[in-house]
Amino acid sequence: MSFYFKTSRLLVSRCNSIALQVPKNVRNIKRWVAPTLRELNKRSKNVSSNEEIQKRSTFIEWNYNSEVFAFGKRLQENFNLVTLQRAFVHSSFITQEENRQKQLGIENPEIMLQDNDSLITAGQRLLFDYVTAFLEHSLPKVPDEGIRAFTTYLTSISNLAVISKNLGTFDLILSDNIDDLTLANTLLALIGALHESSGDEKTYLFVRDFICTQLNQKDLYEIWEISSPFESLRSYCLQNKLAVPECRIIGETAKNTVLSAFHVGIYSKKILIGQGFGEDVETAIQTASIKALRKFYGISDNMRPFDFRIKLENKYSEKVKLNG
Amino acid sequence: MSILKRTQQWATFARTWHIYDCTWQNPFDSAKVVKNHLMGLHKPIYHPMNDCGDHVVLINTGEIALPGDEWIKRVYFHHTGYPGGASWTLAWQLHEKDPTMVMKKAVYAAMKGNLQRRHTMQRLHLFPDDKVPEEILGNVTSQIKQTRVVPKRLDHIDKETLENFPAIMDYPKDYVLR
Amino acid sequence: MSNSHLFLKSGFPRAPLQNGVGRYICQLQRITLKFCKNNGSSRGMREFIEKQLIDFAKENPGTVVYVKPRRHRTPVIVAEYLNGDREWHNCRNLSKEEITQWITLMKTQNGSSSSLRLRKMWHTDMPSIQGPWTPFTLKNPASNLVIFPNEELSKPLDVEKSATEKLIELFREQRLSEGKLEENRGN
Repeated sequence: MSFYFKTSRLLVSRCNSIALQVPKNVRNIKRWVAPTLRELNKRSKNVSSNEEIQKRSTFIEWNYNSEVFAFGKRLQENFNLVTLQRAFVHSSFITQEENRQKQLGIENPEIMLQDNDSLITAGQRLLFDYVTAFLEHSLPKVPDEGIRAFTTYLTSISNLAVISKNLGTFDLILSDNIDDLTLANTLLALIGALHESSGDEKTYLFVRDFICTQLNQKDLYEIWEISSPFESLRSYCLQNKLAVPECRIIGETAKNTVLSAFHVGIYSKKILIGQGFGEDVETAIQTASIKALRKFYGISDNMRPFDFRIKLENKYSEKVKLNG
Repeated sequence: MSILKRTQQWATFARTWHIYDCTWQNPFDSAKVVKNHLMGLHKPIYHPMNDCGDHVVLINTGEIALPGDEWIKRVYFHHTGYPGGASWTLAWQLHEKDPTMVMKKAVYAAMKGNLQRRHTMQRLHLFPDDKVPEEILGNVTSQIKQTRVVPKRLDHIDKETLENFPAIMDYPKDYVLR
Repeated sequence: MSNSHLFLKSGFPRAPLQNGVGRYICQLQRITLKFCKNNGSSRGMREFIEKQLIDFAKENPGTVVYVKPRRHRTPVIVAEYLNGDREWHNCRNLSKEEITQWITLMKTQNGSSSSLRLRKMWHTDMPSIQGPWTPFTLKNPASNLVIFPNEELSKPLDVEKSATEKLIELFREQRLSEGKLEENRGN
């Protein structure tokens, strides 16, 4: 790989010297650039498929203990180092080691490591409770269905894996193979380990700072899609003693063409509660009701940003304890 | 992409249909206004790389008013491509053959230097009078303001207004009106 | 963009993992200082290691520091970031101060910035708080009831009064004042 990298650097420098000579108003990306890039790309693919990426832990400059210590300090947490190390050890690693030792002829293999299974289960419960508590506090008007959808998104394996990877767990995990599930489980184990070392408040802050912040600047509608919005709006109005919603076209263009656009407003007792667009009236009604519902639920496009500074108050800790 | 984002995009790039009445209008002044709408230059989202032009329906193109002696002096050139195939048509002759042609050529010429103008012209609908098919008129949701006021013809003013119109001076009694 | 950027990865400025919204995490994961113990080109690096490295490590407990002496080779800094980037920097003949500056840069950036061409200096997922413009924005709802073509909407807005209109106005004023005069006389 490094060889190709060097050649590409060479190409770049050559490219530079050519650029100095060409007059202005001439196509300055040379004709050979695209084929060269294609060729380099092809070769790099071949190389990476044949060679296995070397693990960072196989390098000479590698000290597992310092790495684990730095990991805790980086997150600005005071982990109990033994618990923290345990959080990185997966059961698959232990079985793998045992098998290896057996193959080497050791009859009763002894591995001085403990796996993180209990930490994972503890972390999973804590994560779910704290995320739900945070969401219920931040989005008080959203119904349970929505809170559930946001919680599922935040605690999904893909989301947790991305967070885990960006916190630098990848090089520290001891497991037979590292996939998304392993990465996510490691993060859960870390939450469990933090709870063991520092208690409720610190664990909540960790969950808030690293998991809940993933909702920042996200389009919440992409996460939670409301099914049959007009019916939902009607039932919402019934429950909250609002007048029955009525739809009116408040703008349209090119209605006889395939590029027609409609602007529909939804009124409740002659008060505009939502407006939406669509390529036909049905779609426009649907979007208008979604917008109205989002306004009622307090998750409109221009909602107040989430407050990521709220602390764990007594009532939440009690609730969490109750849930636990 | 969620339905909200999709319909938002759809609405932002929705094509509006405008109508423009060419009665007594200078086609070359009008073409500048019509061009802006055809190319979408009047929109805040305009960018040369995005396709946000609107449709324009031109009615009464037979009633245009050319400035000065343009009807007899303006010449439209055409060449068939064969030797001796050049032809020069005066504006009034062209207008007699096709009453939408002068207006169409004016709009086309107003977009000189624009590679997209042949495609943009597809969004221009010309009618020599005010008889527009229902299908097209149904799409229209906006009207472009004319560039100048339509003067009122003397024979269209009712008798009462004419009689009550103030006279600057009275003719002498022995003045012979021809 | 110049030709030297043709083979460079491009992207937008982004904070990884909403860094700084919750708490700030230094993105520099580990740093390796490679140097020679007697070559002159490593002089600045040796000085840095003697005088400042301990302080640096104390101030940044989240960054793992490795020091790797090797004979008769150029001094080098290798920085590894949380996003997986690995940045290699040649420190031949650099002074202690210059090395400090480079390390400060590595400490404060979120990836190898020299290997990314920024397409724009800003990026946002939320383009507008008011909502994007549409042809329906600020449109008078009364226009829904208009039957096109409409003569009134067709009239230009900025029309000056014609001489005839001015004359008629003058005439009306004159008649009004005449009427008043006659009223006064009658009294």
